[in-house]
Amino acid sequence: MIDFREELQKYQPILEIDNIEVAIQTDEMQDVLDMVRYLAVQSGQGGDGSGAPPLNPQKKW
Amino acid sequence: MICPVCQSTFSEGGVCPNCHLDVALFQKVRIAAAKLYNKGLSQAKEGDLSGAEASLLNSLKFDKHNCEARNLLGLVYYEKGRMGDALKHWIISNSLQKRNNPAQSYIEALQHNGRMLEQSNDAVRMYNQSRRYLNQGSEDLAIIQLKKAVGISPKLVEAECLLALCYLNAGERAKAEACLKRVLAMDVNNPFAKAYCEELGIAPIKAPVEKAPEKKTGGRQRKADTVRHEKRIADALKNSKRKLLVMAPTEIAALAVGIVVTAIVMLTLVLPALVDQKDQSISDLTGKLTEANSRVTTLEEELQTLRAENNALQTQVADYQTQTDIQGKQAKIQEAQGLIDAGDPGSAALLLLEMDTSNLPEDVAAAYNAAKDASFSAGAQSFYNAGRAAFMDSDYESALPQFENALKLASSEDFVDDAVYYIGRIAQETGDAAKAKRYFERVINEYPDSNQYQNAVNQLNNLQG
Repeated sequence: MIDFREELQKYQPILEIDNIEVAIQTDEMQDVLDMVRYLAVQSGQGGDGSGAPPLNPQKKW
Repeated sequence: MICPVCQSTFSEGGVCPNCHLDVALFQKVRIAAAKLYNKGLSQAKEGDLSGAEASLLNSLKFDKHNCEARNLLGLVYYEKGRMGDALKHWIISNSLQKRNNPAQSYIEALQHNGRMLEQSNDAVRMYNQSRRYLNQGSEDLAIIQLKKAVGISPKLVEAECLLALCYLNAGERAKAEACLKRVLAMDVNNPFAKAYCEELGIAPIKAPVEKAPEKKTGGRQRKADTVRHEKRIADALKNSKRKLLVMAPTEIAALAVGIVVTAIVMLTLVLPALVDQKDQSISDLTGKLTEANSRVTTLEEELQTLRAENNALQTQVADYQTQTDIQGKQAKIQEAQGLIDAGDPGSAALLLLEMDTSNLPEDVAAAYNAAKDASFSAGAQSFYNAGRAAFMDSDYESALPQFENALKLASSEDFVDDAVYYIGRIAQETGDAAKAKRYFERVINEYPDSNQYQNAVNQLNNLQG
């Protein structure tokens, strides 16, 4: 038996064209690659051996 | 291979020789993103838009720079009627990769089809509004909005699903089933539609979808498939754009022909008619002007006639007045005659004395003269006698007007000098020395032979003394 109210909550608002700019600006742009890159840098990998932090860890490769 | 951290290039191994980063994990993530993209691509080919959407979103969670996944996701959203989401992902894709990116052409295609974009946006607004109505409990209003939304944008799957849910809640199973059929025709594995079909006890209807033959292909072939699929969908967009471009010159030509034809019709039919109309107006106005001038002339002639009549009437009136005046005078003359006959020539004479005798007809003048002759002398005498009698009684107040009347009426009677003298005496007696002096001098000057001459001299000497 379908619960109307419960089912209704599954429907999310659809983006309107007027709000595209805001949606792009607030969009979560981090992906798994960003997280792996960050973890790698944190763990010490990706340095040049000098201990200095790696250059531009989020640059596309 | 390029190290994702230090950007150094190396060809062997999974560890960067420069920064010693283990790039294998990055490769695995990238491969996962690619797999999800491929899954999304095959789902999109099969018409499972919901599945493709989920797969592509997951692909982007692994690798946000996967522009192919983002472009395909935009196409899926486009197919589902969600232009806002489609544009959003194409814009992001275009910003991440500016060169050789079909997202730019997708965006331009949408921008050129502004009407469709506007209609889709209106449908989305109605869908969002219907959600608000449902949360407020206004299901009737929500159904109205949803029906409008799917009418404007039949591809809006969410609106169709929500409408089906509303019909299910309202117990309108047939309408709900119709909605679900439409949903599943567009999105074969839509989870909402499948759940509702199960609720209704009907088997979900799968739309016939072209299935590409399954074959194991390498990464390059997959990429080629992706490109071909994207190209097919993008071509659909471009065709709409191309149609616009192809139609525009003909439309312009048709417009130009229309303008020319309209101009010819105007010149040959409309303008002459307008000119004729103006001419007719001018003729009418000229006629009215002529008529008005004629009327003015007629009125002027009437005015002249009336003026002449007026003058004649005024002359008549003057004549009548003259006649009335003459009749009045005749009456006075008769009255005077009556007074003469009654033995009062003095009153008759005074009456005749006041009369203006100018312009009297002959007969009336004759009657006047006769009456005058009969009354003036006798009246003067009468007045003199009365005045003298009053003077003798020292009734100067009564005597004075009698003597004055006598002088008015008398001309050459022998008592005139006496009357003058007596008036002087009355003035003397009443204390008006100047008047007395005047009258005494008059006697002396005008009547040297008068019997009152000496008396006048004496009285004058008395006054001067």
